Parts: sequence; C-alpha cells; structure tokens
Amino acid sequence: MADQATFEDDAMQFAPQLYSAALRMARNPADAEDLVQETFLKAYRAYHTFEAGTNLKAWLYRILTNTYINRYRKKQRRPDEVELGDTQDLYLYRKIGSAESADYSTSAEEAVLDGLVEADIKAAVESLPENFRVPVLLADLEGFAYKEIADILDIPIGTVMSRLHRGRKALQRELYQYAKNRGLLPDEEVSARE
Amino acid sequence: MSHNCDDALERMYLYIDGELTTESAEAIKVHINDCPPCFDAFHFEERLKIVVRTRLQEEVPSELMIRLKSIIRSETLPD
Repeated sequence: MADQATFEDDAMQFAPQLYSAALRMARNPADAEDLVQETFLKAYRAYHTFEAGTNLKAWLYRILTNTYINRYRKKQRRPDEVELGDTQDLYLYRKIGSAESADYSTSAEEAVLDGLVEADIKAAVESLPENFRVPVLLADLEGFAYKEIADILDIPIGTVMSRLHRGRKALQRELYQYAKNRGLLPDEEVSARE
Repeated sequence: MSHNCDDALERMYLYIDGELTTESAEAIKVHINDCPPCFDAFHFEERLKIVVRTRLQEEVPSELMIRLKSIIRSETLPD
C-alpha cells in the first residue's frame, strides 16, 4: 500500500517521460497534456492500491496507455486492430545498402542516421497504427522489458514481440521515405549503373 | 549467409533489447564479432534504436507540471 501523501514526491519525476510518450500517442500537444493530467489524477486516486516498492513507472504507464486506448478507440468507433503489410527484416539497412554509391568517404548508414531529424522520426512513429505504435513507444522510447510491456498492455509476451517486430519494420519503411525525401540516400540511378 | 547468420538475425531484437540470457547473448556476440555483415547490421539497428529514443524526447511544458501539482493538491484538500 502506497501513501497518497507521498504521491507527488514519488510520481512527479515521471511526468516528463510520460508526456513524451503521450504526445506520440495523442499526436497533438493539447490532447497529450490532457492525457497526462487524466493519468495523474487517476493515479493519485488509485495510489492506495499501488503496492509500494513495485514498479511505479510501469504502473503509471499502464494507466496512461489504458486511458489513451480507451479514448482512442471510442473516437475511432472502430475497435478492430489494424494489421500491417509484411516488410522484410532489416528493411532500412538493406535499402541503404542497395543504394550505396562507390563513395566510401562517409558511410551511407551514418548519413541516414544523422540526417533524419526529430520531425521525421516523430511523424514516422505517429504513422504507425495504434496497436503497433504503443509497444514500439514502450520499448524504444521508454526501454521497458517485454514482460513489463506485456503487463502494461495486458497482452501475452508473444504478442508484444510480434507487434514490436512488425511495428519496427513498418517504422523503418516510413523512415526510408523520409530519408529519401531529404536526399539522404545516394542517387539510386547512379548505384544501379554500378 | 550461414546458419549462424540466420540464427543471429532471428534473435537480433531480443539481443538488442537485452532479452536474452547471458549465455545466448554471448553466443551472438561471438558470431557478430566474427562476421562483418552481421556486425554492420546489428550496429545499424542498435544505433537506430538510440536515434529513435533520443529524437522522441520532448520538453515537458512547465505549465503542465504546475497544473499537475495543483490538481494533486486540490485533491488532497478536505471536502
């Protein structure tokens, strides 16, 4: 049992991280702030049910993701989960490799990793369907273990792994388009002639 | 692509996400250190994960922090 009197000291430190995740879930600042506020209010009210000494960060994320998913699914009026087309493994890496020119002075991989700006990464993440976006955020942004993600989302660990895998591949397909549009990839025609 | 490469790539995300046992992770490490194509691919995916994490960080609005505190404090007030 956790003491409500210590909630502010215990939980407030996680607010900035929760906000980063909330913004990618809600996709706009006003809704993200709303989501974080509702999360903290619910967490405060339920804090007496939190078992002190267990994972507070994961507990807060569970409230955040449940709040988001409930809202989102209500708004969509489409409870079905979206599927993703199949994408090959190492999609971005292989795409860069196949476009690589004979210029060895800079690595094409580094050029892409350095050249993708914040806005590209954010937009690419936001393009993922919700049921893939949330596991990717929990793993890549927050660094939660698979077991923690399974507990947060109330899904089996095998489902976490498969959504994460497919979500990351879809993310790479998006990032490839951003890299291409920014001219970060060597001219494909040039490499095609090699 | 050897059988070892297939095996390593199959478990690449488990390795990068720190989900393997020490023993399995060690076996993959031995392989990638000995196999330049796998080394490059793993290195790229590891870098990408860091790039994604870093560039998704947001500055939390200070007004939000103030609002969160005031919400909690108004909840603690006796009715």
